[in-house]
Amino acid sequence: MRSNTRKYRLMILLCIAVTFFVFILSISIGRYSIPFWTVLQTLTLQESVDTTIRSVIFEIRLPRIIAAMLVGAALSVSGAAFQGLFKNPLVSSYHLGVSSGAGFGAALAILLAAGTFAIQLYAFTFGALAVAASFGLSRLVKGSSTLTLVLAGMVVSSFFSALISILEYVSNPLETLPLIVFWLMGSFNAIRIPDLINITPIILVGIAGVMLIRWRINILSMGEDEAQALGIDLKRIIGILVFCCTLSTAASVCIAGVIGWVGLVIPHIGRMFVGPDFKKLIPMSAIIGANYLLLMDNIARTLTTGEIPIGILTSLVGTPFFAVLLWRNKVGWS
Amino acid sequence: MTFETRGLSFGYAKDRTIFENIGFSVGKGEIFCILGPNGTGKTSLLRCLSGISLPLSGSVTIDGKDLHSLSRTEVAKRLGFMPQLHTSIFPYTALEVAVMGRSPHLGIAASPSERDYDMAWKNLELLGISSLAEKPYTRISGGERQMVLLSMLLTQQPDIMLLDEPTSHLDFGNQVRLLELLRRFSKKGFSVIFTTHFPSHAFQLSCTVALMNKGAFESVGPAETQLTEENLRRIYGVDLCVEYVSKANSRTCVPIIKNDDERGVGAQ
Repeated sequence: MRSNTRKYRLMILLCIAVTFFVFILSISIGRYSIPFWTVLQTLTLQESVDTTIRSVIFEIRLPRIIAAMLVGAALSVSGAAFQGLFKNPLVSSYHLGVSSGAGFGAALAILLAAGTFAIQLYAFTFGALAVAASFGLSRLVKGSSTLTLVLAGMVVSSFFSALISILEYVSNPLETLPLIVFWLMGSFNAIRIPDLINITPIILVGIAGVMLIRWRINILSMGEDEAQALGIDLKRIIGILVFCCTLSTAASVCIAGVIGWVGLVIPHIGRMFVGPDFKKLIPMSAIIGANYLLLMDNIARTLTTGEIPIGILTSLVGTPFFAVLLWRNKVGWS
Repeated sequence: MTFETRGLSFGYAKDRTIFENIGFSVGKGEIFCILGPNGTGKTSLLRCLSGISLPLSGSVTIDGKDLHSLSRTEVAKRLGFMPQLHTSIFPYTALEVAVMGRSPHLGIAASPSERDYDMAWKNLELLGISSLAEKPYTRISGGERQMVLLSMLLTQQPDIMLLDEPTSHLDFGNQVRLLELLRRFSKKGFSVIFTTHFPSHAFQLSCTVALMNKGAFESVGPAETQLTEENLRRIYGVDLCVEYVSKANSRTCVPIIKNDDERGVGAQ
């Protein structure tokens, strides 16, 4: 086995087993603690389980847990894909303005006193619009398509950040401003089954798209000339990648807010396990990302009596972790 | 198989061309060598020939079909390009880099199979660098990277190989091995187009040589008639001699180094 496939498969199987354990554990813990065994009984739909427990699990905890896992996987997969696309290990999937665009959309909907679904719809739409703007802007410029895309992303991100500031400035400091600020910090608190039904297919389509063409990201990361010489249609593959990553990232941000440092850090942890080959890195990032965000959300909902915004947690954990990676020279430039 | 270019011109602006009106053709199993001083447009020419850069005018055709009428994948199946200098941001292993050559042969959603890795491995072995297989591409020397890129090119299996100064980073032994390899591939029916700064390499392959100077081909013909002392002196602006070495059964070009006094350097 020249490609170390056996070792990789074993590692993936092990990670899936860990994921299953973390999943059950997450259902069991909370303000209302449920024994491990009861969780298993409930999940296998045994009649003997108390209806209160059943409703806690199926209506509150499970949607939240599944959402955290999906969002963790989505952010990590698209972060890894963007790092390869931009040949830059410091990039995350927010780089083309999806988070500031979505933030602006959500803030606008909150100011208009719209309901939860409208907030999500605005966030998704403006997140996607911001990326489309970055993409369109980059196409106007002649030259390297990925470099101009990074620059266009920075321009569009800053523009939407300024728009968010304007909305915050004009909003009512006692009513709408706190809502906007909390939304921007991110949380899985409010997620119920209908939200999950809306976003799950979108996130899965986005992840699946990246999964399908993941080996091509290797070639893309070798440079544009080399990729073209190896038969890659640059415009097509960049288009597919940006589209898929934007779908899953925008869907994530619209239900959970802006959760930073996941898409940046998780791919690096993935590389420590399976190396830089995107064929292995993308699935690995998905699994690690799902576990990581689930654990973070468990802390967010159980550490204090209140709810800690998860974006704060992921930044608090992500930044020192990344600093250690930098210090240990594990960031993957050399 | 015929690879042909006619009236090829390239530049970043219409009034400032890098090279102009270049035309030649290469048949199956032929080796074509482009020699010329730095900055004369050799790399730009290879980039145009490989379809990476768009020419201002002129055409590049394979068997009469224009390169730009074919899809990238179709081009990559027939035409391979090896850049002069290359690094990667991510530390892929040499084997992972070599297997990228399979790209045009796999569907867009496919990943290389064990068979593809075997092909890449065989090419690493062929080049004598299978010991590098597990080493990160970013932590090996420039010459080793050039060899890995060559193994990627071999894995790509194109009919025509375009190589930009393939020997520039290689040690003496690897330079010779590469020349032997190019000759072996041409005998198998592959066509090779390469640029070089070593006139002796062209002699050794006894190939067709194009002398490129100031963005144009001055002349094209067999190495023996092109690489005369007079031509090489004019192009490079230094003194040199071309001699036949009977032991090697080949001509070679040796520069004649001037003393400082003769050049007037440090005379004071």
